[in-house]
Amino acid sequence: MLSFFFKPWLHFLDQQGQNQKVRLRPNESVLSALLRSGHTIPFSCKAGLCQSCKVQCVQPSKLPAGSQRGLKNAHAQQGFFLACLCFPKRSLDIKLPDANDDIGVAKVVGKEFLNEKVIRLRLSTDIEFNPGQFCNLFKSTNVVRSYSIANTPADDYLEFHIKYIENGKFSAWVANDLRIGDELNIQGAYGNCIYTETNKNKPLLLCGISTGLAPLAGIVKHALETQHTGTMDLVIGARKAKDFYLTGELFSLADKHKNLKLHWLCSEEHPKNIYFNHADLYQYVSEHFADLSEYSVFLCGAPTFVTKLKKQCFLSNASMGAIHSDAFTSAK
Amino acid sequence: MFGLFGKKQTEEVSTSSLYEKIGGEAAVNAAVDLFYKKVLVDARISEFFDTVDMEAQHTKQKAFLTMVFGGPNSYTGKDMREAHKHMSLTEEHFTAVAENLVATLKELGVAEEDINSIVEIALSVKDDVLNK
Repeated sequence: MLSFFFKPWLHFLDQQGQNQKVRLRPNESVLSALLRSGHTIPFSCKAGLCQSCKVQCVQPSKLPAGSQRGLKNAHAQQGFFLACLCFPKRSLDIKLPDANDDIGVAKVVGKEFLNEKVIRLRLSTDIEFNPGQFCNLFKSTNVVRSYSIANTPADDYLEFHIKYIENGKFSAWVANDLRIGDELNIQGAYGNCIYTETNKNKPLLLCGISTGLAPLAGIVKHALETQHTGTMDLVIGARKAKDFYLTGELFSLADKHKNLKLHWLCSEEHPKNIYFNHADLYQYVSEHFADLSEYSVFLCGAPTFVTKLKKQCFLSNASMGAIHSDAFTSAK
Repeated sequence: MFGLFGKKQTEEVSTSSLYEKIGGEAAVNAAVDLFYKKVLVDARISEFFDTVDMEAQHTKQKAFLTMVFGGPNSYTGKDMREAHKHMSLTEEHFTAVAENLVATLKELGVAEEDINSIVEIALSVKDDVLNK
């Protein structure tokens, strides 16, 4: 096979305007080749989800299939593609991202711990978004993380829930160094896990673990603001009761809107609080929502959680087009 | 909605393809969820689907059903071979998929003679799928 012997080249102008070329190794992505050869471009998940490694190709027709997965049509037509998803079989002329392309500035207007592990970060910025989408937040060019937006455009800030990880490159910086009034770069918003329901009576099932609650909270608030009248069951899973957060805000929301029902599930303990249950989330969902044929379903959290529950919901008759999901990958 | 699968008048049948006869794209849409569910819970083959992207797989199954229903498709023997060659599939795996296909069609009320035509098309890709 010719492609086995022929290794394609990447041709591009670097950020200093110099012509550069890099030889691709077999089965190597454009992102890996750029990083291996010492070129810096923003990247985060390496799995085609965060879109932070978006670059442009001068000849879009030469792009291998699949390298534009998830991009907006307008961007795909202009030859943008994701460097981590692109495994070229022939040489490509590409354009590295302009440092300022698509990236805006956000100012920190709020920061507080919601429980032991979750930091609520509020940023003032003018980017447009749909609740449920995510943004890339920059500590520096090389330390970029994707976080879901937890509120709606009705507020004059964006809210993010950041899980604090000791020695985490991004989260520890937010916890220890970032101050109110500081500015950071932001890119987005991206993602298809959004509420677009035109049938306001449709029942919604929303399930999340850990900070998977963030996009779900945004979606719930958005649905309520747009007069959704169907039932909304928000199922939140955690190991222990102390891992729950945003409880006060959600309780008062559920108090005001009778069609919103909260299900707080602890997998590892019998909680003392009567509003929390001891239950396995998968079992609980299959027992309480045995027939999902009428539902729109939203699933957010770790990839294993999303994959397992998506399959379960599909087998409980949810139609594939009515299952929306956002799997959080950790930075590699 | 499954009335789409109902038998039409014989005169019409003779002038239209099998795909149109059983209801075209709407028929495929109705069949694909049911078919995929059966495949996912079939212990003989479910392991092959544990790690795949469900949306992508759903799209592929829709393309597969469009093909076996005799509809417009871009499936080629080469695609089939490429997609399955690393999976070490056996006769039993192929039979399992075929059985699920037949069960789906029966459940949707497709006529016996049409099921036979569909199975015939499915059998035509068997060697490619099993990499023979």
